[in-house]
This record gives sequence, C-alpha cells and structure tokens, in this order.
Amino acid sequence: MREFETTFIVQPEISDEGLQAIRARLDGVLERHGAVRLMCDDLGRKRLAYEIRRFQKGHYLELHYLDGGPVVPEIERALRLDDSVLRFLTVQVSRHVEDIEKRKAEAAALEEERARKAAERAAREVEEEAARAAQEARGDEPPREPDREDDSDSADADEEE
Amino acid sequence: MSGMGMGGPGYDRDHDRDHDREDSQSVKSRLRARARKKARRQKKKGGFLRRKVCRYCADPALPIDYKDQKTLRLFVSETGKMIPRRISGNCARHQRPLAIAIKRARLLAMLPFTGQGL
Repeated sequence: MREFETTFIVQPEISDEGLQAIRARLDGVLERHGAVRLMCDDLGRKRLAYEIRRFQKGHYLELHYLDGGPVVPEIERALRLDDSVLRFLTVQVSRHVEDIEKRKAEAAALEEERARKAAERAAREVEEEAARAAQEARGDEPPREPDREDDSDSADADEEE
Repeated sequence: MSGMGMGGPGYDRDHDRDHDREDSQSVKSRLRARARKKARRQKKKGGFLRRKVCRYCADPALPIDYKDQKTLRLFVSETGKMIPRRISGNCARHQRPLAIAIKRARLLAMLPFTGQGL
C-alpha cells in the first residue's frame, strides 16, 4: 500500500455544509474503491499568491489515504467535477506502508488534534470578522476591502472598467 | 556584463585561442568565479566572511514540505524566483527536493509564479 496526499483548494465562500458534502463525497469514493482513509485535515482559509478564478483567498484541505494507486484518478475526477474546487495536487507520501493499522491510528490521532486546532482557528476567524464588522458599523476608517464582493461577472467588470 | 566585456570582437580576432576558452566557459562557472572573487576581496578587506551552511543540513529535523509557506519563502526572491544554491548556501542534496517543493507550492498558489504574491 502506498500513501497518498491530496491537497486541494475550495473556493472561500463555501458554506460549512458544502465543505462537509465535498469531504463526504471523497470519503465515499475512497470507500467504493477499497482505499484506506487516513485523515482529512482542514488547513483553513489562506490568501492565494495569485488569483484563481478571481478569488483571492482559498480554503485549503488535505486528504490522506492508503491505496495501491487506482483511486487517485477517481479522487481527482471527483475534484475536477466539483465547481467549487479551485485546484488540487496529489503527491505520493510513502511508497510502501507496512503496518496499515498503526499508520491508521497515528493518522486518526493527528486528525483529532488538527481538527481541534481548526475549530479554534475558525472561532478566532469568526471573532475577528465580527470585530471588523463592528468597527465598520461604528464608522471608523474602513478596513481593507473584502476579497470579492460579487459573484456576478458583470458587476466585477463594471467596477474594473 | 563585465565578464563579457573582456571578450569584445576586436580582442577575439587577435587571440583566437583565448576566445575559444572563454566560449567553453559556461555562464554558471563564470558566475561562480565571480562569487569566489568577491569572497576573496571581502576577506582581504578584513571583513569577516560567514561560511554559508545549508539550513536543512544544519537542522536535519526540518522537513522540506511544499505546504510550509514560511520556510519556502526564505528560498525565493522577492519576485518569486528560486534562490540559487550559490547564494542560499544549500547543499545539492537538499536543494533538489526544495526546488520540487517550491514548484508544488506555486501550483497550489502558496507561492507566486512571479511577482510578490502578497
């Protein structure tokens, strides 16, 4: 069994349910093809180094799994079909994993820890967002403009012209 | 560039053999020679020359990870280009995977292909 790691970027304005749906779909793909799911880590919203489809931020996720290889194209196909996925990259982490159960346990522990951190980070982000909104409401100096105000392309084009 | 200036057309016609030798010298070796020269000059001036050490050799625990934006940024110029070994001091063994990691990070928009990216 080889270990693979697929990192992918989801568009930043996605709802929590949408994110969960993507995760569930990928888990389904893994299960259908008999791969061992190790963990799915939420790396949070990060600023992109360059715009992708006019988004300046992206929600990064990282999926680890064990398989002989045939699931990789399936996973990538699922990601490609999803409109809210901006980018993905699959990397082979390890050529051969001997003790699957042990690796599984390690990954599960790590996932739990990372999930906790992600939750903390999410809470912090919400707090910051609220603070910024409050500041804006008070009529202070307007903070940096939001990443993307509108989904419709026509509105964006009007602004830029 | 100063290195090229020496091999001007008039110079070459008079010294055919010199011309051949200069041509066979690669751009990289010329750059390296210049770096050596600079180091020598600095030494002479009494300035201390810090020996460059590969960061990854100095700390074997430091993993080369394409998701580690902060560390990768150290090895990329302001314009997003990879910094050559000759400048960063990395050893060949670590520069190779590092280059791959930088390219992967670019694909995932963690590093810019060009420009500042922030």
